[in-house]
Amino acid sequence: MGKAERASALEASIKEQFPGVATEVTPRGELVARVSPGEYLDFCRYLRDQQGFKFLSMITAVDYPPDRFELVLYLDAYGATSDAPAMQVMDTRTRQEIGQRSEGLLTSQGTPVMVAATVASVIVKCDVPHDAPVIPSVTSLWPTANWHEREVYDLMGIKFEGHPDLRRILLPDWFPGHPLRKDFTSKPALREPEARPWPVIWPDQKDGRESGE
Amino acid sequence: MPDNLRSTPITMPDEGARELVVNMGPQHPSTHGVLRVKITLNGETLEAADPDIGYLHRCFEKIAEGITYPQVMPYTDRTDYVAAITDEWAYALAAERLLGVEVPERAEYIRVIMGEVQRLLSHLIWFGSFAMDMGAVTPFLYAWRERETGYDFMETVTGTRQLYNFLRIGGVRNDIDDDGWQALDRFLKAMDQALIEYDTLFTKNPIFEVRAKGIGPLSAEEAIAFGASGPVLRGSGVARDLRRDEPYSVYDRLDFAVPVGSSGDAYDRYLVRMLEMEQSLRIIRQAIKQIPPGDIQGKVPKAMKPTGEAYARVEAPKGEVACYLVGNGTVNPYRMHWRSPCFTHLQLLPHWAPGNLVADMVVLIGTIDIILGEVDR
Repeated sequence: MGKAERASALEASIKEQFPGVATEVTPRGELVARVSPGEYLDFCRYLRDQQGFKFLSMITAVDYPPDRFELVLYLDAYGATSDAPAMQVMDTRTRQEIGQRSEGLLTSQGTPVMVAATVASVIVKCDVPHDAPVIPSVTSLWPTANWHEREVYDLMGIKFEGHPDLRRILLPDWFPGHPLRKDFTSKPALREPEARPWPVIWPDQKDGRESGE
Repeated sequence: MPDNLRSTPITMPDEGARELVVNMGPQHPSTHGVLRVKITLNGETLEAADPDIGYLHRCFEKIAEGITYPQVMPYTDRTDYVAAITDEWAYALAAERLLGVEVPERAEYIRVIMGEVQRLLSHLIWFGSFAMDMGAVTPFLYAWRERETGYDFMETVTGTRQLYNFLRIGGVRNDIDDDGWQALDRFLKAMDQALIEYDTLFTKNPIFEVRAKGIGPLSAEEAIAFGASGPVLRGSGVARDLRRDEPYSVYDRLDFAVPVGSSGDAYDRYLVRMLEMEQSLRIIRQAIKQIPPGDIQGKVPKAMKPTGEAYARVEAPKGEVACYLVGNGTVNPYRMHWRSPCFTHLQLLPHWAPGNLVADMVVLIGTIDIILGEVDR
């Protein structure tokens, strides 16, 4: 079964369980699911536990002022399928011991831990209101979400309820604002206030030396 | 791990025992750049580790919103600066999917050749510095020797050693000329010999085995839950390789194996990377045989004003590099997100750290092959 057929099968079962979720299938066989903030956590749990979407590739957000942010999750399901080509398990003897080149090193030995091919991909989208950007955290479902959500919080300013350690990750703590928002422009604020020993000349700002005061 | 080869760690006496918080980095030589790890110690045993990143942050994603689609390409070089081609590739794929651009076959093969040479170079740097992190200086010098022949090839083709700006949306900048093919041949020959040498020199080294075996164990389920990809995931026994699972470019026409480990420790990840280098050599040799004549640049619209969105990912040397691109009908991307494997893998440090020794911290950092340019973006 190809990715596209899997996506339509998944689409059908989502329609049954979550009638409120709008879905479409992209030409590349990814399923796009639009979910409301209220259903978001339940839907994610359903995808992980019932449909096997164990791998979270990324979380990000897009700013659509003035009304909404779009939170985007990219999920993969791994499956042991007949589609997956035969897996080769590494033999940990060295070339010296075998006395030959690579082909001998990769003979199938032992039992595979997991045959994994990406059998389906889902893009979960959730609209977060601009004036109150709060959404439940999915760190309890995917531990990797921890830093991805911190990054979204840092750069986009969306708060994740139930996140164990929600603080800025890339920018310093004193940084004002969230730079990936479309309305972010404040150049002078980029300088740490107390670390500004000299009068700073900004192009859009009159300085003492310029105006002759 | 053979316990008799490891000395008993020094711990603080119970009386008056207290935790000691130490900053490792941001200027520590083993942190491969500017990574600061706040570690909590009891004697020389780690109790917690908290990576502090962002020292190289330049908000590349915001920069991309202010420039045009072709102008983004050089910025992608600066994310993973030791494997720039694969980063360019992720962006080029995303932009091509967004614009609906076809890439000529010859260009695809050139991309594969350049991408696999890049994987070899990235793994060589990793091999040398990983060995040096553990105190073995000689492999570093060996690795740097072959790396030079590889960079000779890259320089001959692209004109620069590290930051190539070589891929174009819909193709590549220039073809590989005769000098380039000869340089590639020299590199491949050097690598054939070198891989055997590295193996003899390092793989069964008892000190290395003691330092790496059992360090940073990761089960298959954990690896998937932590979003691991690339050699870190495969070291844990999950045979997932985007080149095989979601074939992009012409990888579906090339025959290669996906090496996987079993115990998921630092030693297995070492073996996976070393075996991947052999597979890369196989791929390059096949690509050289199969490469057809023809154009190297597809037809692209004069004004690139796409709408919609695209998610493209490639199997980079460090793992899954992905680019999420949203267009709104103007010449600038409306939003671009860069998914970097090193950023994701760095979350494993707090997971691994408790109970290990301070000296193992450098092994843990080395084993995920971090490049801070990519972590901080």
